[in-house]
Amino acid sequence: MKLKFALPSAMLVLASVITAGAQAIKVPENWDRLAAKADEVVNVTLDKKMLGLASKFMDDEDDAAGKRMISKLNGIYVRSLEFKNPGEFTAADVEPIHAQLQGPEWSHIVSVNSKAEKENVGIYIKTVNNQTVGMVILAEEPTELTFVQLDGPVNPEDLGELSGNFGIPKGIHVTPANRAQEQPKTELKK
Amino acid sequence: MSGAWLLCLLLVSSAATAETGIATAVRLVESRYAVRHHGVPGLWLAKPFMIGSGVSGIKIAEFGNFHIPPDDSYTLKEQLSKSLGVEWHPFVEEWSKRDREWSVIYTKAQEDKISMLIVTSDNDDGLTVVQIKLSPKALDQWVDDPIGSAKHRNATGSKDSAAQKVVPKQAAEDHAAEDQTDVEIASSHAAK
Repeated sequence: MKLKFALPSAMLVLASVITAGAQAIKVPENWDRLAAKADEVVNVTLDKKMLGLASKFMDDEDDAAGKRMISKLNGIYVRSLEFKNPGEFTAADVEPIHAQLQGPEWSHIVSVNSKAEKENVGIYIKTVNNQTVGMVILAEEPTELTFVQLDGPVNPEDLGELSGNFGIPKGIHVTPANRAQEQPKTELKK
Repeated sequence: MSGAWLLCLLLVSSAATAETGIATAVRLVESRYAVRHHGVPGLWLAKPFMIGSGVSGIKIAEFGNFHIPPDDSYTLKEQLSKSLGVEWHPFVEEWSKRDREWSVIYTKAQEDKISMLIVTSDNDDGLTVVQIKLSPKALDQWVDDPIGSAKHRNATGSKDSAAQKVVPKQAAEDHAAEDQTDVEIASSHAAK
């Protein structure tokens, strides 16, 4: 009799654990507040199932690295805000987002500040037991703010393969050289 | 005996789940805002654009000049997600104050195809609900550029017609016919 109830209960617990894992999206807490001020808002969610389907159809040799990369990911989440005028969001608005990426598991591996084009791009990786388990790209422009989260094992050097696809901004590359010297040379092309 | 009941319950629940989609969205909008949907006259004209695009099984319901109140889009989206159930996954949400446009797109995996449900409200067309099936090739286009596809703009930057909204530009240009397009109008009479 006890077993009769134990099995469905165990299945329910298992289902809720799986669901909780699937919903583990680390969107910055104050993003909604910023979104309310934005002129245009775009949220893209590519979960494991969608990525699995997409990877099946990446048959070109050129896609091999990208296919290998996305087949390991649990999800790609893109949050993009566009404001009408420069100055509608400030560094103080973005600071809480940076703060969430300052924990011991996070490393800020690349940073690009273009004074000419007033663009700042930061790339952060999350490491657990010496394994990279996630990556965040935060791109700030005078009227645009983009937050991209790659959930799952990811090699930063492979980022160029995904750049420009899946809602990830174009032209973002990480090279072993700029990581080692901690003098990032990430390019940001529009 | 209890096994038979369990089987019955499973069958009923799976049948109920299978029904969610455009009808669910339409019912929700109609009951929430006391409006009625209508079909799209001349939708068959769009058929040539869709040959070889990998888009099939199109169902469209329009709500004329009805626009979602801006303050209500979040609540509607939450209710829609709940009504559609877990098999429909949120894919893209987009809203623009400038263009008074709001779109939410869900996907559902079905064997070798993906069903996509698009609920979009804009200044020109009002609220439109579209359900389509995408071939792997057409899905590839959406996954490669989800933001561009969601904004349903063509290469010239101008807005596409109602039916073209669902066909990515590149896919529409590729006429290597691989898919039988099936155009279906959700309701053929204006009921407003």
